[in-house]
Amino acid sequence: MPSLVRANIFQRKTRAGITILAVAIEVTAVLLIVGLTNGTLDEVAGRMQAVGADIFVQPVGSSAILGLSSTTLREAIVDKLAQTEGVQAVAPIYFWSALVGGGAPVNAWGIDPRFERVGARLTYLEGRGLDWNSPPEAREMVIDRRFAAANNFSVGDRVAMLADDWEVVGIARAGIGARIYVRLTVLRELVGTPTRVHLVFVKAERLDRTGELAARIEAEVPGVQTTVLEEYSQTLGENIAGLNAFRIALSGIAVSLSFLVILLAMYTSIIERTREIGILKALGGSKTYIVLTIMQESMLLSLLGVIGGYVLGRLTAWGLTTAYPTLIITFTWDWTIYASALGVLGGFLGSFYPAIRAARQDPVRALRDE
Amino acid sequence: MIDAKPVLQTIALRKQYDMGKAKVEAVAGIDIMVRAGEFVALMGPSGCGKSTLLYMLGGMVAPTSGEVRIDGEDITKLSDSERTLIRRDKIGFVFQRFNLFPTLSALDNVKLAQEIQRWRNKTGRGDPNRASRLLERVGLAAKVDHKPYEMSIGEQQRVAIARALVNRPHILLADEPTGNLDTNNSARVMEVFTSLNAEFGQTMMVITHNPEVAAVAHRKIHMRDGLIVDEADAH
Ligand SMILES: Nc1ncnc2c1ncn2[C@@H]1O[C@H](COP(=O)(O)OP(=O)(O)O)[C@@H](O)[C@H]1O
Ligand SMILES: [Mg+2]
Repeated sequence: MPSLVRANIFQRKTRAGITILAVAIEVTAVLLIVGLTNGTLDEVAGRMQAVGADIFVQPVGSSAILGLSSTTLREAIVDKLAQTEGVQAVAPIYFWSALVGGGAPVNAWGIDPRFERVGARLTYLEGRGLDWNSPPEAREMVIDRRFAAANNFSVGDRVAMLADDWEVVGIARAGIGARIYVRLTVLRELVGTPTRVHLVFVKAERLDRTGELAARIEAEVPGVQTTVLEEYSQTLGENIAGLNAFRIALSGIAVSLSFLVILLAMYTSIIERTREIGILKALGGSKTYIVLTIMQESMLLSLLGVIGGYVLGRLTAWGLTTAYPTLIITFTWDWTIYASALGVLGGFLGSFYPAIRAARQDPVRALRDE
Repeated sequence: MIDAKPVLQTIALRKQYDMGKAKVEAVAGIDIMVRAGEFVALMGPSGCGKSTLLYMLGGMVAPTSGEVRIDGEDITKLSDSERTLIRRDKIGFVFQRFNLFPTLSALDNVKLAQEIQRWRNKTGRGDPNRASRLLERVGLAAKVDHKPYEMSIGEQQRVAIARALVNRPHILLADEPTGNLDTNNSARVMEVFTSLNAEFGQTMMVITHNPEVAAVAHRKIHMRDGLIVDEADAH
């Protein structure tokens, strides 16, 4: 690296620092935006897959994002599904979006003993599972560890939901299905729709035939649609309207900001160094040499910014997930590379115009003493 | 001296600056010839066009008309990048204000000129010791690591001279190199110029108001209102 590039950066430590910070913030912003959306998607899909079923069935026209539509299936459909050829077991689910602890709504699932037959294995870290033989007026609730940690709930605590007091009887390992589990029959009674279900998990007899089975179900059972759980993460991403537009828009804003900061930094630096650029020309520095010298400076700054952004992104993610245990942030290599490339591109574009201007400037005017 | 080949030559050289409605005839038709190894002092009142002439000789200002020949080649016909190469390989500049890079040490200022010379240049002449040897030569051996602001004005000017010479140009153009210096420092700078000229035989054109400086030149060229008014041999 030419000594001049190094010297310029060290000479203007504050400006260099701010430029690096701007790029770092841009990279951090992109990484976090994508990390948060990806983390949430993966987490949602992962929880569904962790149930252990192969397919889930919903009323036709439902969104892949669970809980968005209020249409339900009749109980009779559940029996019809169970009798379909190739089906080993079925488990009906009733959703409730619970407002507990004053935070964002949390998914509560009403389940019955069939939930375990499709493969779901809840592991209890504290307490026990729901008692299927408890009287109808019992209000038992199982919550997952993250939800318990976020709200400071432990076994024996009473939690308000649906204008009732529920007792936490067990805390399950997080990552399977919902954050709150209650008995299907109790939940449906309370909501006032005792014979309806929102979704049915299906366990196939043969794992290699899930696609076939899904198609057969849609053909034989009227009014339903199926989703193969293996493909759910992908389906989910495609179904969230505007997700990619949202990511691109926010990334675009972040990149524009770092671009503008670099543009301003390099532009003021060029104006300040008019005379130095004149000397470079007098010494026989070509236009390309001058452009490259200036671009090298900004590229180095943005490269440092990218590295800083990666570190800052990791630190912020760590801080956020420590403060909010239910948040999931997933860093992926492709987006890390993309965010870094955007950072460097911002530096490149931001310094291009100032560099060209510098190279074009009249050397003599800069060197005149008057 | 008469037999030496022409190094700097101008033919009917003119430069007109367009200042809106007014036109300034900075150089109004000048024919000069400077031969290899000559040391010429360019004199004249402020605003008479000396700097403009010097910058045209160095290919930094485009003439309105006329020719500038460096080693017989008309550089006004060349492209901008070809002129840049000529400046890089053949010409050393020294200015009145010292124009060192404030962020670089004396040694790095001199080395920067080498770096530019070597850049994308297979025939580059980068001699790693030449920069420090030249600084020694101008009496700054003890100050190679000093930044410009840590040196006196006279010392800074000597760094600028070392920088102008590091790529072994055979032409040295200087615009009032002693203009900001006291008598003592002027004398030292001029001593460097004359001894280098005697030793390496560079062709030099130095703009100066200082009669003592002009006295050591081989020849004086006087300008007024963009024209040469009088040429005098010092010998
Ligand atoms: N870039 C420029 N634009 C307009 N006028 C200029 C420019 N450079 C020099 N001049 C004018 O040209 C004339 C000669 O200037 P200059 O060559 O600097 O003279 P000197 O070096 O002898 O003092 C002056 O009148 C000056 O104002
Ligand atoms: Mg002048």
